[in-house]
Amino acid sequence: MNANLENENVANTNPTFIKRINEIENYLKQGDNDLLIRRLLDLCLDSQQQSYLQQAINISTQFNSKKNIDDLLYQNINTLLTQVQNFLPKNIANFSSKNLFTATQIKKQYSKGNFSLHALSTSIKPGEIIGIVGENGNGKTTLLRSLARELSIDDGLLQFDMLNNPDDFTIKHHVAFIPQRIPKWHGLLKDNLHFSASLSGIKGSENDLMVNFMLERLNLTKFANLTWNQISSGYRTRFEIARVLLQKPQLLILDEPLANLDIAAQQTILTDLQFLAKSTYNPMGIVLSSQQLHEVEKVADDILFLKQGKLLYQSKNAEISKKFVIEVETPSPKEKLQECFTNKEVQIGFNGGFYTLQSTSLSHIQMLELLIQNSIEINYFRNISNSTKRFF
Amino acid sequence: MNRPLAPKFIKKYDEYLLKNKPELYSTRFHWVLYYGLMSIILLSSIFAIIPNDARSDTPIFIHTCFVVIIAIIGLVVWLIFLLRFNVFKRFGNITAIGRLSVFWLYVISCIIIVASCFVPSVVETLRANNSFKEKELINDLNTINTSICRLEYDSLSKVWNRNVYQAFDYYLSKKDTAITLDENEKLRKYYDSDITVPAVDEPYANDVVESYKLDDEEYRINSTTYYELLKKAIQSDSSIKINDSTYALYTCPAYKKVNIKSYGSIIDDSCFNDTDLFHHIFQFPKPIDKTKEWNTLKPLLEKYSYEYGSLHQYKPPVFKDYDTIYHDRLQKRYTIYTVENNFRNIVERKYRYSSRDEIEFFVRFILYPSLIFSLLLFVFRHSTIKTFFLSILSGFLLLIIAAIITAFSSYGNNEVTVFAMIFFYLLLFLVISITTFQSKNRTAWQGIGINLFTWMSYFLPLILVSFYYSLVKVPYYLDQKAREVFSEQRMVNYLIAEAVCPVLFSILLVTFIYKLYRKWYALPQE
Repeated sequence: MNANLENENVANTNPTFIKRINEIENYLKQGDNDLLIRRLLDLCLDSQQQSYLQQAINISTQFNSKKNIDDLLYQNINTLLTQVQNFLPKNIANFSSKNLFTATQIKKQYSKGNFSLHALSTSIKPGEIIGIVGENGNGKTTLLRSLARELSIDDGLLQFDMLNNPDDFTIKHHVAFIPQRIPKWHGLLKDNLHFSASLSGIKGSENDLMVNFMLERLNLTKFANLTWNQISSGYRTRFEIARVLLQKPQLLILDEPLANLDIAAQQTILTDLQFLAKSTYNPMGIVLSSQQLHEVEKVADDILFLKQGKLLYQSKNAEISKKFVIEVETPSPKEKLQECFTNKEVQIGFNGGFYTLQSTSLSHIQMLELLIQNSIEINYFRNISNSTKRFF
Repeated sequence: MNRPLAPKFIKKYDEYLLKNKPELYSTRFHWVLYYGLMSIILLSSIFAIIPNDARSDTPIFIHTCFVVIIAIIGLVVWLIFLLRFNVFKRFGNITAIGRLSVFWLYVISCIIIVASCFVPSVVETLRANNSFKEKELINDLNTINTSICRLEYDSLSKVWNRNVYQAFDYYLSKKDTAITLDENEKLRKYYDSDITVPAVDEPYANDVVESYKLDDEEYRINSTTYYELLKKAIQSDSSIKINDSTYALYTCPAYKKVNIKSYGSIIDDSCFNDTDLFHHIFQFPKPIDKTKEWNTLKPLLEKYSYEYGSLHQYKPPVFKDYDTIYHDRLQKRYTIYTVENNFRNIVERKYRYSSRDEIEFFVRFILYPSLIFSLLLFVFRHSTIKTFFLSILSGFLLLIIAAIITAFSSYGNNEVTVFAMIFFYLLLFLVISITTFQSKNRTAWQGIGINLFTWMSYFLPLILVSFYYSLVKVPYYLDQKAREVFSEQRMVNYLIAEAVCPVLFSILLVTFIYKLYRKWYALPQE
């Protein structure tokens, strides 16, 4: 990261940056302050200028202490945005079109137990997110561990195209795997972050800057001087993500990262991961597994659905579904719903909580209209025509 | 993190290492060095202040035990902090210098911790050196022995003990090297020369007789080897050559009543021996003033009367019925036991670290436990917990198997079997380790092989030298002189091997062992 601005005196015409600056200006106008601060930090990180990043960290610290943006802070943000706009960051990373990894027909059979992961193929590029979904015990963790080279594969080919003839140590240096049960950290949380940054060659003042950035970015500053036992499991996940990100991995693999997080935190973490994956400072691919189908589907570029070790569905290769499926929650009995769709080709299923309505002739909007016309009280509705939820 | 008694500079250095040198930071060497030196200074001050008279029986065992407990606590605390961060297990890049320095910093840290256990004894030695100068001790000891001899002149024997020895294997090729009467110095020179001492199967001397008459007394002749005769002649106080193969050897009566030979040969050599006392007092006796002599002796007896935590005034002895032996009465009269004990205590303290052998012993005593522990630590830091403990278990099992094979070995020399087994194990572990390069999965048995190879490879030069000497030692043992030369040579070779060990291990560590661990640890599991 550059500390000196003198040689960077080039007007910023990069469309990506202009778009991002406009996005931040909109957040500022609309009062989406949390998002504004996070995106401002991302922008300054991608500008690769230490002074901008330091200013963004200061702004974030001030904001977090007050939780609102006063005039002075508003002015500071605008000044910073103008500065970033006026200087073109050096070495803007263009996302490589090369795959980070390519898995071709990989299989895994445990020597003990009868579970096996059947042949599947997938690949990921920098900036992409793959979501792996499926019921418990269907091979999500096995697949993730195989991709992280934690487990050996029995057949197929797993190539790390990003690296030139790598050995396993080099692969593991560039591929970060966060298991569901995160091993305990020892010592101060902040020291662990400094150590991880230092491991990946971020040294001296840059080390301080990057750790402070990560703490601010993931909103962890107030916990930095605590120990592992003093924070909740949700924050442990966030700290582990912060630690791993400081090691600048090219591929980040997360096993159930949302398991310990509340609903708001799940959304925040997923969007953060989405933004960070597309960071020009360190673009990376992310593979994650989760039971939070809708949240994952929102951010993932590809979804893999596993059932009994088999790849049942891959969104990237799937055709757009011709069948419309909606999920409805209503206090009305099933008979009343059936009355709504008399003479209509709609299948109604009930799993105890939701009704699932499937039709090839009626679209989701038409089905919803019929329900409303028949005065069916709807508490919740979701179109799952292209969601993996329909496989559950 | 709050660290007690840590100044700013060390905290800043800790922070610098954390952010710039993660591999050095993870060793926590700087904290061991700082707290180690602090502890050594503190302990030194404590042991310099607490009452510990150089004449008293040394409490060093208790003091050392106390410090050992502190050192163990220090070691455990260091390990707790050390195990927090591991660059290797985080798949961080470590430079060749980093790999080397991490291991050697473990060793130095262990040395600091182990060496701190010697603080009480070193401080005690310094205190003894400060309290009693060598010249003072020699003067006091000579004065005490001279005065006792003068005061007990009438009771002491003036006749030297005489033994006649004949070397049945005497043979000399050169007449001019023959031993002349009463020339111990020449005898020593002869003994130290490179003259080939004849083997036992040389022809017997012709002049073998069973007894010899000397000074009108018939002496039985003791038959011995020429080599033994030379040794006895050197040890004797005087000698008379009867013929080329027969000597009368004389021993002076024991005039030296306060004797510290076995405790402090360094100052004992500078003190009067029995012969000196004989020459001073008995050879040309002079009349003495017993009161004056006693007045000279008494303060010295009181000076060296430290017992049960204090000095005692001299009190005339009360003899009991059982004090019938002259020696016992003498002991009581001059409190010889206490005086001797006081001298021994001082000498034991003063000369604890004086001889080269003792220093070598202490250096090895500190170095080898530190090295062994550092190797274990290094192995632990590069291995999985399961594999580490399996390695220790396997090591013990293989040791038991080696012991059983050695015990039932038909080969006569057990030492050869032991070293052959060790060498075989080393090769076996090397082969197992090398298979890792072709492996697709991380297996425990390969990890065990690498761990045990790493652990043993440090000692490879010593194993080779020991193996070599276990094979070649037998022919040399036939000849006494050659055996001594051989022993010296062997000692030199062991020292060379000891010096080669760290160099070879460092090269192996950088070039081979690290690659093994790097390959093995990163392999996927089954």
